[in-house]
Formats: sequence, structure tokens, C-alpha cells
Amino acid sequence: MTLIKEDVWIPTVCNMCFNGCAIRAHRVDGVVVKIEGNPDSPVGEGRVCGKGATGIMQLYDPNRVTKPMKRTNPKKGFAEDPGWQEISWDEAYSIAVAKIGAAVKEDPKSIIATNMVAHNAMFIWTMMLFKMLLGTEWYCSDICGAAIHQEYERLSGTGNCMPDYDYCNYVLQFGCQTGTATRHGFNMTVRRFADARERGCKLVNVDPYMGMGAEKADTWVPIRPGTDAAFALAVAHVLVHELGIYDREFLKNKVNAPDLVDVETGRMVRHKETGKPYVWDLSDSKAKTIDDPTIKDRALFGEFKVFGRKVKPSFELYVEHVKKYTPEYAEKITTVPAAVTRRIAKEFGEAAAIGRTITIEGKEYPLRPAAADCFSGVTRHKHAHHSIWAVLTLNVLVGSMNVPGGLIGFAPACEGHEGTNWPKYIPPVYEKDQFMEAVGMYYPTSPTSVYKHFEAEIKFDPKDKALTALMPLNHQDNHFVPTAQLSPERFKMHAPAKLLFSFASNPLKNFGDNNEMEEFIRSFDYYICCDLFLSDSAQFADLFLPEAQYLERYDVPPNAGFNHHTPGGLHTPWALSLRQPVVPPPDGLPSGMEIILELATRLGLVGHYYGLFNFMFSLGPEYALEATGKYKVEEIIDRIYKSWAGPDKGLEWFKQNGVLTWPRKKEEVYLYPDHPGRIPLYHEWNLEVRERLETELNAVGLPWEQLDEYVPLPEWYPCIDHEIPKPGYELFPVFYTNAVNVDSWGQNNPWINEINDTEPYGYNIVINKKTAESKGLESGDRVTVEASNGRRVTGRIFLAEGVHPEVMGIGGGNWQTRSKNLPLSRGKGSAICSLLEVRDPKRLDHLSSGYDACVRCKVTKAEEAEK
Amino acid sequence: MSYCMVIDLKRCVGCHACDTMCKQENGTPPQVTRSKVMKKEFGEFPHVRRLSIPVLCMHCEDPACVKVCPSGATEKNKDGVVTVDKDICLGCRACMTACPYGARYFRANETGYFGEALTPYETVKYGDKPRGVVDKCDFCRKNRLSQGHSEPACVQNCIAKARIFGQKEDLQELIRRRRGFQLRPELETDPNVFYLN
Repeated sequence: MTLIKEDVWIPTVCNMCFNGCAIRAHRVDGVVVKIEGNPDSPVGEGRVCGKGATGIMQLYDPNRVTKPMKRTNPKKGFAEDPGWQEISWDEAYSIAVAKIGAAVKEDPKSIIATNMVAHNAMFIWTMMLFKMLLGTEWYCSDICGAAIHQEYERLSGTGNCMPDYDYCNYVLQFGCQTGTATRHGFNMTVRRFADARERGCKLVNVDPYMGMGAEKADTWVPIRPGTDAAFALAVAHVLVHELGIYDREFLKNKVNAPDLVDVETGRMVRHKETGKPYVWDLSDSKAKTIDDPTIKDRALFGEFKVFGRKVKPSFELYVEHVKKYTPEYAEKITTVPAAVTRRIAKEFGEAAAIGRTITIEGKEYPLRPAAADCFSGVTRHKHAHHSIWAVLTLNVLVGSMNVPGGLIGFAPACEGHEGTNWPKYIPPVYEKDQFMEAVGMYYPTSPTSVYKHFEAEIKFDPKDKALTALMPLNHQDNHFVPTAQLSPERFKMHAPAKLLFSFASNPLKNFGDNNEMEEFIRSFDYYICCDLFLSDSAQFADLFLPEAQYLERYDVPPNAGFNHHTPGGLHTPWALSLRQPVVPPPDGLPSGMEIILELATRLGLVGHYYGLFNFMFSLGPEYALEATGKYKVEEIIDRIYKSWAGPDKGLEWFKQNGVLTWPRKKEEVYLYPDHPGRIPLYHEWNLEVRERLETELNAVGLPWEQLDEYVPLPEWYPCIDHEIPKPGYELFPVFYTNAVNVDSWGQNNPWINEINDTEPYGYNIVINKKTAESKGLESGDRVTVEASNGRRVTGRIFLAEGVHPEVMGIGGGNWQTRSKNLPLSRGKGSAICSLLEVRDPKRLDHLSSGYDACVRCKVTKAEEAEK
Repeated sequence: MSYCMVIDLKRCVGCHACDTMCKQENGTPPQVTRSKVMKKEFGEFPHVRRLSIPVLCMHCEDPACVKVCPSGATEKNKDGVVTVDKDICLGCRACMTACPYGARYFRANETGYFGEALTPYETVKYGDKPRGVVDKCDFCRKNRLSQGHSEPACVQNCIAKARIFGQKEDLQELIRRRRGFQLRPELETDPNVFYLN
């Protein structure tokens, strides 16, 4: 028997996905033998999810790369051996800096940097160096929440929302499995949602595929893909036209619902000097600007004359607008029976309990225990902007935004942490319309004004492959980048970019057609790839910089921005934790922080980087980094933590204690009724944005789509393949994920792979039993899936009842890896995203850069297709 | 007295956190899945329900495996836990055939998840799992209960808090009130794992 010399538990933070749960790692004689949740933190509450428990297998995966390498074979392709040559870190940095430096000198926009949200610390650090300091192009290589974060911002002042599980009694979720399988704070919300369901909270899940959300739901509403808006508008129709259920007080006081709209132009009538809109005060039958203190009762209905113009409250226009969306009309679009729509609308409206109040810590709040929520499934569509808007407006109707029981922002406000520089913030107010502004997705130090942005000049930039200027409503994920890089002439681009830099991301797999994404990567003269493994993308790299694994490194911040740190709720304290090394990295591998800092130093920019750092992380003056200073990574971390947590809580304190928590106040959770900012129902600005956008597009001569969708109220629009384009092509692929998979992040992990291998839903394409049988297909058949555009992928099918008859449910969608360096996952699953065009922008939502998976397909047995 | 587990299927989200935590705690080699989640559909589209059912050794009161074990390696302990003494197990696999719950696994070789060469973690953890014998869930008796922990790893780590572990007599009231059921009760093995729905 060997004598154990060392036996320690080290607090740190998981990185098997972007949630960053607090963990404790058990190290015995230098070997990590266990990872557990850290009970000191609300982020995980002492438990880890199915991915989190597999971290040891990633740590010790022999396929990891531990030395920097350069390519010696100039020919690129999956059939080519890159001829990797191990080099020193000094040489690796020299090459990288020479390439980046030369490209920046020519034109910063000749560089495209990309990240995936899972490694959220490097998401921030790379973006800071490349996009913010060097001025390069940047995009999010996974299909993140295009369109949704902006609508959440407009409604809650922050980029993410959640049902208030502590008080919610009815969750109506569209295209997501929040609280049962996925999303921000997944491991934090599962227990709370289970508590809610146990006390009687109902879950209705609207999804074409029975994922975990549908499995746990009291009602599963299998819907035709891409038709969520029609269903949501039909629910709204039933609420306002059939049941008369809407929160009059909320609409009058917290929404622009009473603002008077010129019936002819669709524009608000506004005060000629202040630009403020008018409402009609029923108490003395007068039009008054929205901030007039004499207003007693704002009209929601009626037709009035103001300045000689015929005007109506915008709420009346909304009510007229949803008139055509009867449940019967919607049924033809969605396949959801009208009776089901009516039942759900009634349940949702009644659950909202309009008029009820609750007293929390001595303060009376409206209680609206019903929330309509949506995420990825709805964002991944051509008309995502409208679909999300239609869904989330249901919360506005019943008054459940920002109040107990309803839909609340993750962390919309913060009163700081006493004795520290932890940021204090609350959404400001946009004076003209008294709208609540946003505090930003990540850092409250860099708030983005939602509404001033709409007023800004639209100026096309031929160097900006994200085409940011052409999507004024949504400006975050930049999914047009691969498309514009592949079709520079079509998009009037100055020139294609020449250098690609990716950090912890797999751009080849995490978007559309893998072959076109291969062309995208090949289009660069040089590709620098930073990752743990030689992924499919890395096969095309010229320089590979390996990073230490999360149990071997520091990351600041280990969670994403403040907004993501701790998805809120009154009983969820604020938490700050440290990711620290548990074991030394093999071959002295650097962390991502060290790689980026070394690049910044050698580029001669580290002083500027420190300055940006001081701003982004709101470091107090006593901890701010000097532009001329020379700091070790540990010293930078020490300053950040002392600034955030107090002078006695620097790096050493966090290394020992791991987590700092402090209670959340009710004012930090529920913005209403106190916050003076209103939220919009009627998006008047769309009319003006459209005019300016059209003018600019005409001036530039750029082909563009969906201009007609710049309207003030949400609509349903059919996706490209809503009607069956060719006989026999009637199935839609629907990507989903479960609780053990995150994009391509955990693919080579043997424990995850074992689950995917053994679970019938795992790597298989799930098809409705009757649909499959009508085509003579059986469970286990190898099939070819051919899209109406001619693209093909292969896979194996599994027959089930829990899937819409027009749908194939596929886990991941970005699997079927080809890299020889990922031997466990190689070839497994189906790369269904390969059915979607990249060069041709027709499947991109031109309002939000959402990416539409609605391509109709034909499924045949593999051998038949081969014939 | 007998250890007993109750799994609340209303809370369970079929997330596999029990499975991978079990792997981690017990260091089980490839193909040994002491904890796993089965999925079962009921009804026809659109009136369909699906259930995730986490399974493990049922630690039966009248275990079929014990009866067929020729060497006495499999035994029902006083605390209710069914264990395999790997020093005695002949590897005949009669127990695997007899177990109605598929809760037993045979380790045919000594390869790890990445092939012949074991990782540092696997080297530490596979020492007590020799080739040619049968492996199964022991309610974490060896790794946790005997080390002062009050519950198995799958219970501690259940992110939905769907599992309750304790003495059967203490859980009887809950099982009765929530109409708890056993899997395949008709076989009369009398499992000590109960499900609530």
C-alpha cells in the first residue's frame, strides 16, 4: 500500500460550458481524482451537471496538444497531413506577432477574430485585444442568441431574462429548455424550477421536438418550425379579443401603449421641441405629453384629434393588428389546433392574476406569476426578430415584465458591494420616450444606448464584414461575417480578410455548410488557432497555440460579464469566484490570459490593454494598472479581486476561500413598479430606421432583404421553405441540445461520448414514427438527408412519437467531426448544419443575423440514395 | 434496517449528472455504467408523454443475483446493500443473466477510455476493478458511506434534488403518501429503489 503524501480540495470554477459553476477539485498526490460542486456558491449550489462531472476526462485526454506547432505542409485539407512541427513558445509568439502586426499595418479589418461563448473569459480577452484595441473584425463563431438579447434589453434593461421561478406559476416557453436542460445558469435554475413544479407551477413547452423541456411540460405544443410568431400572436388575439385579459394599469403606466399614433403615418405625434409623445388623458379629455404631471387616466382606446391629425393610442393599433391572428388562422400556419391555443391563452392569462399584489420585505409589488420565454429555437430563424418580439410581448400584455412571478432580467440592477469597487448600476432612462435603457450584456461599465442607436446615422462600411450598419436593430453576434468574407463583391466589401485568429472555437463546425465553412477558413492567407485540441478547424491552421485546460489555469472573470455571473432571483445571492490551477499544466502550457497578454506586449500595446482593462473591469483608482507597468498575471488578478471584493480579499483570499457571496436586494431583482423607465409595445423607430436604411442601401447599391419587416408591430412571416418547395422534400431539421452536450465543446470527452452512444436519442436523427414508416424507414437505418438546395448529409435514424411529423430532431447539428485528432467523436452524429447555405445569405435574418434552419429535406435509406 | 433510495421523477430532468458523477466517484471503466438514465415514451403523437427513468442496482430485498452466485462473492449485506467481493468473484456472469434490471457489468479487459495507456486518473481509480470480474453499484458504500458521507454520489450531486437516500423505515411514509412504486414488482425481488411520479 502506498502512503498518501498529499490530499487537498481546491476551490475553483468549471469550464465544461459557459455557465462557470463553482467547484472543488480533489487532488491526491498530484492527481485530480474528483470534481464536486462547491456548496459555498449559488452558482451550482454544490452540484455539477452531467458535463461538469466529466472535466477530469478532458484534463487527462491524451489527444490534447501541449506544445505550439507550425504547419509545414502548405496544402490544406482533411486528407492532407499538416506536417505539424513543434516549435518554442518564443518562436510561436514571434510568428503570431509578425503576422498580426503586418496585417494591422495594412488594415486592421484584414484580420477576423472569432470566439465561442463557452470559454467566456477568453471571449472577453480576445475581443478586447482584437476588436477593441486593434480594430479588427470579430464575430461569435457559434450561433448565439441573435435577436433575443436585444429584445430582452428593451424589455428588462439587460440582455437576458428568466421566469421568476420563486413566484412563477405558469411558464410558457418557446424553442428552449430553460431550467430543464440548457441555458445560462442551467445548474442554478434546475433545482429552483423543480421546486416550482413541485408546488404546482405549470410548464407549457412550444417546440417541434420533444426535448427535456417538452418532456417535463404539463402541455407539449408540437409546432411547425418557424411559426412561433403566428402562435404567439394567436395567444395575444385570444387574450385581447376573446377574453379581455390584459393589464390595463401596467399598459397605461409602464408601456408606450397609450402613446398617440398618427393613424395615417404610423408615427407618434410628438411635442415639437422636446420630441415627447402625447397621450390622451380621459379625466379631462386632453392630449398631454407623456411626462405631464397632471395626467390622471391615459386612454388605451379611442380615436382623437391632435394637431389636426387623426390619432389612436398605440395599444388600439396593436389590438387591431392581432385581430387577424385568430386561432383558426394560426392553426393553418402552425398546425397547433385552435382549441389548444385558446386553452393555453386562457390558462396563461388567468395565471397572470392581474390585479394581485404581494408584499416582499414590507414592500407591495404587483404579482404576475406567468411568464412567456424563448431562446435558441426561436432565434435560429429567418424572421427571428419578429418571432421573439411576438412571444415576449405576451409578458407586456399581462403586465408580467420585471415584477415578482413574471419575466425578470438576470441582473438588471446592482447597488454594488459595500467597501468595494463592485459596479453599481441601474438602467438609465431615455428621456424622450421615457424608455428604460439597457445596462449592456456584459459589463455595466460599457452600457449601450438602445434608443440613441436607432437615431444614429446609418453609414455602410465596406470594411465591416459583420455589416453592422445594415442591422441597426441588432448589433451583437455578427453572423454575416463568413457570408461577407465568402462573397466580398456581392456585399461591396473592400477586400476579403487575410488573417484568421480563433480562440477556443471551431468555426468550421459551428455554423452552416461545413464545406463552405472550410472554404471560409481556406480564404485566409494565414490562420492562427488557439485551442486545447486539434479540432476540424485546426486542421487548416498555420499556427497552433495550445492553451492550458481549465483545471490548470487562471481565468478572469471565470463567469462572463456581471449579467451572466448569477442569473438572479431574490433568493440567489451575488457571487464572485476564482478559477485557479489545481494541477500544473503539461509542458508549462500558458493560460489564455498569458497568451493574450504576451501577444499584447509583443505588439507594443500592453499599456493600452491595461487601460482598457481598468475600464472594462471598473478597477478602482488604487488598483488601476499603470500603462507603463509590468505585471505578472497573478498581480493583475490580485488587483481585480481586491477592487471587486475589498482590500483584504485579493488573490490569496480567493485561492483559499474560492467564493464570496452577499445577499441580493429586492430592488436589484424587481425593477417595477419603482423604475421610471417604460418599455415599448409599439416600435415606432422601425419606420424611421427603414427610411434611413433604404436611403443608404440605394446609395451603396447593395442587394438587401426584409426591408418591409421594419414595421411598428410584430408579425409572422413565412420562412423560405414554409411551403414545400419540391415534392418529397417535406421534413425540417431541428437542432436541439441536451444537458450533456454544448456545441462541439465536449465532443471528444469519453464519458459524454458514451452517453451519446448508448442513449437512443444521442447521436441519432429522431423522426416521427408514422412519418418514417410511411417512407419504409426503421429505427437504426442509415439514411441520407437531402435538402431542397441539393446539400446532403448522412446519419442513423431513431423512430419516436415525441417529434412533429414534419421534423427531424438532431442533437448538436454540428457533429460528425472529421479530425483524426478527435478519435472518440469522429464521424458520430450528423452535421445537419451542413444543409444550410453560407455564401448565399438567404437563410440569414437580415434584421438580426439569426440563422434559419428551416430547409425542407428528403430522407432516404443510405443505400437507395447511393444508387 | 436497510438502505433505500427514492427517485422523484417529477423533479428529475434526465440530465445524466448522476451518471457522470457516479463514473467520477467510483472510477468505473468503459462500458460499466452503474448509473444510467432510460427513456420511455407513452402514447402516440401528439398525445405523447416521455419519461426519463434513472436506474441503478435496485439492492433488492430478495435479490436474484445472490441466489445464482456460485462463489458467494455477491451478497446481501446487513445494511441492505448488495455487493460483489471482487477477490472471490469467478467472473461466471450468472448474476448478469439473473439480474432483471441489467445492473451488472463485466470487465473483459483492462483498457481505459483512451485505449491501453491509462490516464493518471484511471491509473488511480481502476486499481480495485480487475479484469474478469463483475462490477455493480454499491450505493457508494465503499467510497462514501464507509467514509462518513451520508449519501451516494448520485444523490449528493442530483442537480434537480430528485433523489432521497436513507433508511427504508424513514422513507416509508413518503413512499406511501406519494404512491411510490418499484420497477418490475411482479418479479417479487422487492427493490429498495422506489420511484415517485
